[in-house]
Amino acid sequence: MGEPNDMGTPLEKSTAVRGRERLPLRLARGALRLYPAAWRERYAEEMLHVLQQHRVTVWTVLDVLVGAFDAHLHPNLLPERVTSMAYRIRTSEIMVFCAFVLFGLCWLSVNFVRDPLPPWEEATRLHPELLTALTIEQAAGGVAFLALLAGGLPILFSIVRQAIAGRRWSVLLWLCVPPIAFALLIGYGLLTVSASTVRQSSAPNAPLTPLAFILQLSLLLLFVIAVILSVYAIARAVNRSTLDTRLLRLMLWPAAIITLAIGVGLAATIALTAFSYVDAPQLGPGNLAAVAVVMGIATVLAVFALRRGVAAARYAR
Amino acid sequence: MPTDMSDLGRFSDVSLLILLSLASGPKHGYAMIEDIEQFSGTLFEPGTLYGALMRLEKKGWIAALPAEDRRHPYRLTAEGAIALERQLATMRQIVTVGAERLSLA
Repeated sequence: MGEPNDMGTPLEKSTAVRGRERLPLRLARGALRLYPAAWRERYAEEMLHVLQQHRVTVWTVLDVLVGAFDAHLHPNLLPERVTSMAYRIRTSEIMVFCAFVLFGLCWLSVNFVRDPLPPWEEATRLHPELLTALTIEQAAGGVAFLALLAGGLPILFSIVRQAIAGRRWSVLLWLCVPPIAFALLIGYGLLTVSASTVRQSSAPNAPLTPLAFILQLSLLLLFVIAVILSVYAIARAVNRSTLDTRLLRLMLWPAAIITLAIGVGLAATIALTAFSYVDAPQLGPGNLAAVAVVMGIATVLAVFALRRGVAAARYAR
Repeated sequence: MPTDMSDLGRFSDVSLLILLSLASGPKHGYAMIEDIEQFSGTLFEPGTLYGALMRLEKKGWIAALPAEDRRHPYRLTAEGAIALERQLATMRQIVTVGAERLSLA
């Protein structure tokens, strides 16, 4: 068993065949999508090469369809689950990232809930437990952010390196989406800053003018769109890259820290809400309760994703 | 590791031809199809080929080599060689018995 033998068929043959049998080849390609994901990850590209060189007929299409059916019937025969488990770990980590973003939005919202600040400062001075809960909530956000950097930067570095080496420019384009989206958002904010802060009178608590209100609302809407677009773009870039299973498994640690921090943040926000109801109802704890509900969703998502990722990592051993 | 082909079901004949093709050296999928057609006159369709390759890989009789141009060449493993040898021995015995019985008839 030495070096691989002649690996293929003359290009002229495949080109001629391709021209004559375009429809069956297209159908066979389509039939490839019917195979289970684990099978496709392992064999789809190879089989596509074979189909491009093969004399594809209606029988070939039927054979591929039967093959797809057979692969579904025998899941125990599917290529070693290391590949699909790596995929599960990767998608779990993307889900933890999404949970982090949701948590981050809630974390920022707590600062908005505290506007105007003076009543909060007064309340935290009188009731130290409010300050403790608030400090823990803020610290949890900081820890989650640091863990995201610890886990995300090595993955980002690996994706960029791979994309440059493999000339996969589409991956790099996806990675450009977040900075571009936020640059546009900042540009819009700077352009509208003077008009969006105009109040109906000179009194400090006077309501905003209708135009200022609309501009602030549009800024908020654009911020949400920028966040959603950025999360989607990062998820696409990660999904389109082949990441080393060892790296993915290692990154479950930062994912666990993020999940823990989100959970602590949720507990602190619930405590903050409860203390506000008891000690300082004038602060409007209803808004905090709404934030806690969304944070709860982020926590459930993070815990589910982490458990899924850890289970996949155990399986991939 | 078992070297019996019976559990390969309808893929046992295909598998035998694949093992035989790989006995002369590692090959990609299409090179196997061409080789098998050349030495046996049987033309495989890709769905059948990959159904068998999946089973043979699972049994550890063949192994994928690092990808070249996003295609993996496959090689025969030591277990695969033993399985092939056993199957060929059975076939040799069948041929012998068949020849003897025909000459008696």
